[in-house]
Amino acid sequence: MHITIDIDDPNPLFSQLVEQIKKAVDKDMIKPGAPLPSIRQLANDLEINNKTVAKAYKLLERDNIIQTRGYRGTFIHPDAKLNCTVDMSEWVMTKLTETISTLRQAGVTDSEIRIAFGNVMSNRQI
Amino acid sequence: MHINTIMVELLFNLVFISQMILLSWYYPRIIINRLTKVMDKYPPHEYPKLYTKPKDYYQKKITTFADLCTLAQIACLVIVLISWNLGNSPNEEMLVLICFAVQVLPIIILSIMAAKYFKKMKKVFQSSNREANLQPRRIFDFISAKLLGIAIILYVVYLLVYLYFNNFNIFLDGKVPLTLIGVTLIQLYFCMVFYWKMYGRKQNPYSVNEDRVREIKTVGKIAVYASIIMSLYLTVATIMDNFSYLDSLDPMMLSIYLQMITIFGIGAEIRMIKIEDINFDVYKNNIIKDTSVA
Repeated sequence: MHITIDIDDPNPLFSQLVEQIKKAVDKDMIKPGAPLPSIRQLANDLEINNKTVAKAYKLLERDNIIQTRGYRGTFIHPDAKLNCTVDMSEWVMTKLTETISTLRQAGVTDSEIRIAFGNVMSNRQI
Repeated sequence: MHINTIMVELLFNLVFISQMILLSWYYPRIIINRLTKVMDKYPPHEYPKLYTKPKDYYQKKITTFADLCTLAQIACLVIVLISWNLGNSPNEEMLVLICFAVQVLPIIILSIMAAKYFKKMKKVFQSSNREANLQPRRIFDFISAKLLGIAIILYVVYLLVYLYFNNFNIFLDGKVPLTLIGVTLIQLYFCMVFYWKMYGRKQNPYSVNEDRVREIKTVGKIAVYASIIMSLYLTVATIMDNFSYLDSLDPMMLSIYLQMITIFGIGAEIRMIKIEDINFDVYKNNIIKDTSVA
């Protein structure tokens, strides 16, 4: 099973990787429990930075598409196909829209929301 | 027990001639035929991506390689003649080693040229698409566990034999730890070469997965064979060193060892990576692959 990324594509490389792996899972081209290559192997094969692949794997692990089993390596999550349908970006957009709408209804101005949002985002402990 | 000196000399000469033929004639001839066959079968107008420079350039390089091999052959003959005229008992072990170094020089130069060729090919490679297989590569997909086990056992056997003849006293003199460290470093080098081939970046940007897998298998097997042959030779040499009447066999053993390394190194690569099995279609223009997810 091959994946292809385009280095000239405006989409970030890690997001192309995430999309490709999700597509492969969704199309049953890669089964739950199947092993995935190591970060180093995939990065060297695609001739990209290890950190890019690590970021993609981290996002896929967060979305329960893949799971890391210590030294044994990385595998496709048993519920990967089901979890592929969950779009985290869309979920974040929905949540933010709801929150902003609630704040606006309470009379908070957009500039106040922007300043508060910036403060919250810059506070990494949250 | 005394070994007949004339018999040993005769055997050594036969083995040494075989080294000469193998490294300066047989393998260079196979390599030259192989390169010429590739250029004839896959011409630049049909396979433009195979050539980073005009065809004449590569033909000249092949001629240079052939000339270098002939030169090495002549140089070896001169070295042999000089050593015969030097004294009563020329150091035959040194003679074997020097000739081997001279003989492999053209092959090393060819390897450097190949590395430069792939570097240039990577520079010319224009596609913005990068492809990878989602199948993890594992060591036993490429090397049999039995073969690896044999290599490890023979390495341990060598260490034990070496330590036995040094009374298991590592610090008897400075030579013991240095030898053990040296041999271990060479074994680690074999592991590193295989690891680099398995997980490192591919040299040829066009090569398809099947060809890459074949290359990794070949390098893996060569590394294990080299390790086995080295451990075997060192074990035998260590034992022979402790029986002075076997000293006269040392040069012959060294020559056999170097020839085995060549047969299981260059020879194995030629046997395992056949031109007919390599996918040359990737060097044609406008190849569309439909195996990817995208």
